[in-house]
Amino acid sequence: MANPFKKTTNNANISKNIYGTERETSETKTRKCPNCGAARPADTNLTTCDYCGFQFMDIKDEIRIDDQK
Amino acid sequence: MFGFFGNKKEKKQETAEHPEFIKLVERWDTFLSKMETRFNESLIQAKEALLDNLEESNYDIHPTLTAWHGIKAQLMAMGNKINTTYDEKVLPQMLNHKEHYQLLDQAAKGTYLREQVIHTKIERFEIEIEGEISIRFYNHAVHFLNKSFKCTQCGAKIEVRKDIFHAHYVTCDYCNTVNTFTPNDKITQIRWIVDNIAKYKALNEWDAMQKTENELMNMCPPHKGQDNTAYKNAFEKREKATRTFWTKYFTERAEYLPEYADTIEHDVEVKMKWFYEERKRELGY
Repeated sequence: MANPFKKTTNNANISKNIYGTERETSETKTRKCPNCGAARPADTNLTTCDYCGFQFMDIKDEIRIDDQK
Repeated sequence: MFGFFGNKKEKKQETAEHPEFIKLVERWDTFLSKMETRFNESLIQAKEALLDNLEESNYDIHPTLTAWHGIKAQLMAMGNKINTTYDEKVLPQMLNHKEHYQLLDQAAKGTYLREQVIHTKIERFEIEIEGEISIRFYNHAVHFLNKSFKCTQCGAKIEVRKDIFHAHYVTCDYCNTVNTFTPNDKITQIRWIVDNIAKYKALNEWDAMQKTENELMNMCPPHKGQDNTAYKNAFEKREKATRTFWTKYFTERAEYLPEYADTIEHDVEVKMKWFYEERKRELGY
């Protein structure tokens, strides 16, 4: 006997809503300072360029990378 | 006398064991038995359809969990069917032989199957099926974190964390540059299903908790001034089982999300809060 719930699963596949774009691949990015071209090194305040003082983010708080590993 | 004042109830009692009534009871029992068999078969079919769908949809968890909610509604409807059949078909025929109050045990058979068997099994099955779907999804999605990622500044290999399922900073060990790692959607979705896995892994503790809840439900709350020792003991047993379940649940969750390891004790207390509120209402302490 055919599985009666297959119809339900098929309907769910067909009627699936897609919101925006699906991200299929992971990626890594580094943000470079648009003013001097320097990357952001660890152990610095990530809101501001450590070399020329350019502000990446318009906030007063400091953001530092947590210990990762 | 002349049959004018013949008691209707007496007449019905005379026919209480009427073969027609016995036949009706037998048909009702057969119907309930068939419903239970069909329900149990449906659980097997539901599991098969959902797990197949997860694989066939290339581990797209959305439609599989959506389908589960649809299937759950269909399973619940089987319970409702028992009630409607009794009210609309069985009861009117039985009333030809007995009074309403004499048929309470027949109604109770249907209620028992619906409440104690079907609803209880669905509740447990939900933990099981969501857990199994989630574990399969996790095993599939976590592989994406094992891929090789490179620092976009110097090209050296960087190690991303296997227990963070959202975008996070990663430092390159070679050039010390901070990279932002943005995971794909499947990695992100792991965070949504970790709770299902934790609950599934605490299923034995959940069973024990349900057992103590049922034991307490089957007891009559003591009246004022009455000895409440047995009731109090049942409450304490339930407290222990509930606490054990939540402790297991949060411990399992922290296995996948170590950031929550420090808050296990606090989280358990939050979950137990309603329990102590109930105890205060019922037992006054």
